[in-house]
Amino acid sequence: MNAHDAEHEKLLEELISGSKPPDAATERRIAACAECARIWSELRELESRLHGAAGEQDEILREALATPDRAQAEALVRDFVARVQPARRPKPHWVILTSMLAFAAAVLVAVTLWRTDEPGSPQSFELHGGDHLRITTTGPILATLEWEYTSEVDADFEVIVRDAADPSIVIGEPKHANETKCTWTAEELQAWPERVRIDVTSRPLSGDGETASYEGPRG
Amino acid sequence: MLHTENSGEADKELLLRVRRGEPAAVEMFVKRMACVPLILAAQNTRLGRTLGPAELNDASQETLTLIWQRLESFEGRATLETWVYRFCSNTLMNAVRKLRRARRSEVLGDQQPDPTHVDAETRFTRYEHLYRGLARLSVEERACVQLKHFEERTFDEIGARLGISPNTAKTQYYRGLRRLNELLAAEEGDGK
Repeated sequence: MNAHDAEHEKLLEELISGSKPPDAATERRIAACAECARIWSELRELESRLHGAAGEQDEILREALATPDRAQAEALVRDFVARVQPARRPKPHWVILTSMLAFAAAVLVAVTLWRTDEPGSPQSFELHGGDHLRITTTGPILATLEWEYTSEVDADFEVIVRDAADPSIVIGEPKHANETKCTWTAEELQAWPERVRIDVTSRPLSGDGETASYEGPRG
Repeated sequence: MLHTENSGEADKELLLRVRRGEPAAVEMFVKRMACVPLILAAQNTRLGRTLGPAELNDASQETLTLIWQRLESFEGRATLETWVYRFCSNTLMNAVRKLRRARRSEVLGDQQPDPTHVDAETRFTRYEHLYRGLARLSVEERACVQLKHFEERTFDEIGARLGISPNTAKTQYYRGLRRLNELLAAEEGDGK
C-alpha cells in the first residue's frame, strides 16, 4: 500500500460508518499502512468511549427521572425560578424604545471611533487564521464580522460565537454565511458575554475546511 | 434511549415560551428541571457521595444558574434533560475537585478514597473532556456524532433528521470523529 492518502481516508470513512464490513482483506490493507492502523485503532477506541459515555448518561437520566419523590427537587427549582424570573418580566414599551435608542447611539459612537483608526484600544483582541481564511475585522465586534477567503474552491461558512471565558459554551444559534461576513442583530449582541470567541469555519465543496477565530470584546 | 421523535424541537419551543415569561411554560420548566438536583444526586452517588447535602444544594443552584443563562443556546437536537446533563456533570466535577483541593490542604493523606469511586471520577473526567470536545465540532459534525451514539440513530435517520443525505451524514460523522480524536489527544496527551 502507498503512503496514506485520500483513498485510504475514504476506506477508513467507509469502515467507520459501517458502509464497508471489516473483512480480512480490508484489515490487511489497514495493517499495511501505519497511519491507517493508528487512525482505525484510535477511532474505534473513541467510539467505544462515546458508547460508554452515552450508556452512563442514559442510566443516570433514567434513574433521575424515575425518582418517585420529586417534590423537594421541584421546590428547589421553583425557588430558583422565582428569584430569577422577575428580571425577565416584559418591560413597558417606553423602556424598550429608550434601550434601543441608547444601544443604537452606542453603536454609532463606537463605529465612528473605530473608523478613525485611533491606536491603543484598551481592550485586546486576538485573531487566528488558516492558509486561505483570515479574519479581517480588527476591532471590537459591533454588529458585523468580516473575513477573507482566498482558496479557489467555493465554500460557504459556519460562524459560531462562544464565550471566551469558556469556549465550550456556544452563544445563540450558529450561523451559516454564503458571503465573507456575518451580521448579528442588536438583540443577539445583547445576549453576548463581554468577551467572545468567534469561530469561522470554511466548508469548501471539496477538501477540508479551515477555521479562523476572533477573540476579543463584543464592542 | 430516552428520546422521542422531535422532542428536542418541542423543548426548544418550550424554552422560547419560558424566555417570554409565559406562566404555563415556566411551570412546565420547573417540573422538567426538577431533574437537575436528581441527576446531580445520582452522579454524586456514583462518586461515593463526595458532596454532602449542602454542597449538593449549592451545585444545584449553580447548575440552574448556568442553564438559565444559556437557555438561548439550546439547539433542540436532544431533549432538555439530555442537554442539562452536561451542565450537571461539569458543575459536579468542579465541585468535587474544589472539595478535594480543600480537603488535601486540611488533612493530607488522612483518608484514602475508595478505588471504585476513584475509577468513577476518572471516568467522569474523561466524559467531561468528551463533552467539551463535542462542543467544539461543527454543528453538523456534532449532531451526527451525538445522534449516532447518544440517540442510537442510523445514518438514514440522522440524514432525515438533519435534512442531509445518509452519505453526507456518514462523511460528517467520520470528520467529527477525526476532529474529536485530535481535540482529545491535545487535551489529554498520551493518557487518552
